[in-house]
Amino acid sequence: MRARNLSVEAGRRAALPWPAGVGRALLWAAGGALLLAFPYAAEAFGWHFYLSVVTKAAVLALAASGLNLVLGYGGLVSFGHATYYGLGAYTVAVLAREGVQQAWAVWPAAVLLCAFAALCVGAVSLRTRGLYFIMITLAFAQMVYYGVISFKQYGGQDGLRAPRTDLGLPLTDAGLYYLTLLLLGASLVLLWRVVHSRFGRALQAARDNELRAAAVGFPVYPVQLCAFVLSGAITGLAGVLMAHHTQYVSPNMLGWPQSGHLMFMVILGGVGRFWGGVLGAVALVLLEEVFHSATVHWQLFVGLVLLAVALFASRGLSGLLEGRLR
Amino acid sequence: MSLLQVRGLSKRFGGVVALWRCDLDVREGEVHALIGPNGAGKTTLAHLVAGALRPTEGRIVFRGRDVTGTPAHQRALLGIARTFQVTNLFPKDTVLGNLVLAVLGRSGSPFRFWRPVEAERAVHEEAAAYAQRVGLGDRLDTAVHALSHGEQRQLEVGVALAGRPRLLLLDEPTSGMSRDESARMVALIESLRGEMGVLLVEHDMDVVFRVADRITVLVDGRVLASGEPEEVRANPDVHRAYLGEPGPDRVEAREPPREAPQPSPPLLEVEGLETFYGPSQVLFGVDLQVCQGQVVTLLGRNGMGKTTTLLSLVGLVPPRRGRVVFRGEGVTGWEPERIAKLGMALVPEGRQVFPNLTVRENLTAFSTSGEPSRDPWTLDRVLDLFPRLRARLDHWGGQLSGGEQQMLAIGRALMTNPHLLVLDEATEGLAPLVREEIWRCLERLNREGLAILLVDKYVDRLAHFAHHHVILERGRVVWKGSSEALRSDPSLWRRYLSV
Repeated sequence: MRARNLSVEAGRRAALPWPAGVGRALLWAAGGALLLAFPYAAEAFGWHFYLSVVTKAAVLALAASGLNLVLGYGGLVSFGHATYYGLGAYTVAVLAREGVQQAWAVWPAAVLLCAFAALCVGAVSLRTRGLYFIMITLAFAQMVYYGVISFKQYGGQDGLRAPRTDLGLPLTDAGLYYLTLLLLGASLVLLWRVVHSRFGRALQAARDNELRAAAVGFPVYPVQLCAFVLSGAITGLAGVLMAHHTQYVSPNMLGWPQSGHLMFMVILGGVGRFWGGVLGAVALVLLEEVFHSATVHWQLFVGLVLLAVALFASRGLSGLLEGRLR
Repeated sequence: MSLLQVRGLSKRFGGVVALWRCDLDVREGEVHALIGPNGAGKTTLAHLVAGALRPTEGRIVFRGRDVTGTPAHQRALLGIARTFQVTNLFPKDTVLGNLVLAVLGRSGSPFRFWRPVEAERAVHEEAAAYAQRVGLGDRLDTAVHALSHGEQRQLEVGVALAGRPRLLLLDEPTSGMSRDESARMVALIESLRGEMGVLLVEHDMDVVFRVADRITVLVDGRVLASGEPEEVRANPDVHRAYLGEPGPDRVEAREPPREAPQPSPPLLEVEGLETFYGPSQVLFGVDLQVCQGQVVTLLGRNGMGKTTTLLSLVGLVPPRRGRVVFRGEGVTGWEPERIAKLGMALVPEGRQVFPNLTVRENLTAFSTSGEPSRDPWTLDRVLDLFPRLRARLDHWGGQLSGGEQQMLAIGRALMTNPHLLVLDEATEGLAPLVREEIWRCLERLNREGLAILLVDKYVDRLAHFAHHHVILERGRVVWKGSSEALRSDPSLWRRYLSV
C-alpha cells in the first residue's frame, strides 16, 4: 500500500518538468529571472559577446537534448545527427537564396525536412544494431555532407549566407535570444512529457532489454523509429536557430566532427539523464570559450576534460550534480 | 478445439536440424509439459511458438488463427506470453516497474506521448495485484538485481501473467531453485490450471509429473510421444531415450564409493576465509582442504555461500580475511589470472561459453596459459573426452544445447592444464542422461589424477563419486566428512540439505 502511494506521489511530481520543493522553486525562479534579464544587462554593460555565447549554448542545448532522446533514452548511438542539424540550417539559407524568407513557411519546412530525413535514415539503420547502426548513421550523414557540397550554386565547400527569416517583427539579437529560450523551454517540456509517457517507457524498455520489451508487447521498431524522427526534428530546429544566430551556414555543420561534437555534449552532460543535453552543451561552450581565449591549443584542453569525464564521471555532469543535491 | 496447434514444424540452423516436423497440441486451460534431453529442441520449439524464431517450415495456429508469420510482440498481444530460460527482466528497475511495463505493453498503444505513466493509477494497481499473485506483494520497490534467484523467476511469471495471456510458455521455471522455491513455483503453476493453457519446458521430473495434465516428449528434434503422464511414463521408447535405462555404466556408477586415495599431500588449504559483498558479509570463516587426486564437494542449500567460496578461491571475489594456500603458495589476494596460471580452473555457474566464438575458438583461445604439465591437454584430447563436441567444432558457442555448452565449459577449463578443477553447478538444468555423462567424464578425469572441487545439488549421486564433503550453512562450515559418514547420517540431510 505504502509503496503504491509513494508511486502516486512520485506521479504528481513527474507531471511537471520541475522538481518539488520550495527551495527548488525559488532556484528555478531566480534562474529564470536571470535568463530573462540577461539581454538588458548585456545591453547596459556592453556584454554583447556574452549574449551571443549564451544564445549559442542554448541552441546547442536544444540540439543535444534532441540527440539525447535516441542516444540516452533509446540507447541508439546515432553518429549522424549533424545531418539534421545541418539540414535545418541549410533549409533557411537555401530558401533565402530562392527568395523565401517568411518564417511561417521556412521554419515548418525545415523541421519537416529534418523529420523526413530522420525517417529515411532511421527506417534503414534501425534494422541494425550496435556497431552497424553507428556505421550506417555515419554513412548516411557523409552522403548528405557530400551531396550538399556538390551544389555549387548553394556555396559548395564555402557555405552560404543565411539572412534571418521574417517573423513579422524585427529579429534583433536579444529577440533571437528570447526566441531560442522559448523554443528550448517548449522542447524540454515536450521531451520531459515524452520520456515519462508510455512512449518513453517503451523506448527505455527497448533500450534495457529489447527481447523482453517485444515479449511484453512493445513494437520495438516503430517506437524507435518514432523516437528517431522526433529527435531529428528537434535537432533540425536547433539547426534553424543556429542559422539565424550565425547568419551563415557551412558544410561543416553537416560533417561527422559536428556529429561527434553533439555526442560529446550528451556524454559530458550525462547520457540518458534529462538535463544531460543542456548541461553538456552549456559546459562545452563555456569550456571552449575559456580555453579559446587562453590558448591556441584549446582543443587539447577540452579533450582532457572529456577524458576526465569519461574516466571519473561516467554519468556525466548530471550524475555529479545529482550526487551533490541528494 | 485446441488453444495451440503446431503442425509439421521444422527449424534448421545452418546445417543443424533442431526440429523436424513436430506436432503439438495445447488445450485450453491445461498444463502441458514439454520434456526431452538437452539439445532435443525444446527451447527452439518454445522460441518458435513465441515468435522469437521463424520456422523453416510448418504452421503454428493459435486460437484458430495462423500466427506462423506474426512477429513476437503481436503474438504477445494475441495472448501468448513467455518466460525465459535465463532470467530476462529489466534488471535496474524495481519489481513494480517491471510489472508496470508488462501491463503497459498489453494495454493500449505505446504511442502516447504526453501523459506521465506515473499518473496512471489503474496501471500501477493492476501491476501491484500481479506482484501479490506471484508472492512478491511485499517487495514492490525492490530492485530486480536485489531479488533472490527464485524471486526473479517468480517475477518472470508475474510479468508474463500481466500480459493476460491465454497461453503461457514457461521455460524451465524451476531451474536453479531450492526445493521450497521450487515448491512455491509448482503451486503457482497449479493455480493457473483452468485459467490459461500452460506449455511447460522442464527438466525436473518431480515437477513435471506433479503438475502436467499431458506431456510431449521431444528427442533429437522429433516428437517421440505425447499423452497423459501415465502413458508417457509407461512408454518404453521414452524410457530408453530420456529417463535412461540402467546400462553397464550406470551400474558402475552405483558401486560403493571408491576409497579415498592414500594420504596424499594437500593441494589446496583454506583457513578462515571471510568474504564480503560490499558491506554484507557472506562467508564467516570457511576452512577446507583438497588433497591431490581428491574429489571434494561443497554442499548446502541455495544462498549459503557455496558459489562465493568458489569465487573467493579463484580470486574473482577477493576474500577480506583468511588464507588460501594452493600448491604450496599463499595465493590470498592474488589476481584471478595469476591463480589460474598456477593451475586452478573454474567452470562457472551458467557455463558462460562465448556465444560468438566457435567451439574450436572457445577451446583454443585458452590453451596457452598454464605450465605444460606431465600430460598437456590438446584440442584432440578434449574432443576425445567429449566426442559430441567434435561434430560441433565450427558452430558458434551460442548455438549449442545446454549439455554441449557445459562440456565446452569443462573442456575450456581443461585446456589451461589445471591441477584443480573447480565446478559450480555443472549439471544445472541438464537432463538425467546428460548429467550422468558429465559425471562419468569427471570420474574419468579424477582417475587420471585430477583433483576436483565442486558444488552440485545432486548429493545422492555425489556421495558415490566424491571422497570428501563439506557442508556450508550461512557462510560457515557446519560439517565435514567422508561419503560414508554423509550417507549414514540422515539428520544431516534434514538439517542442512533438504527443505
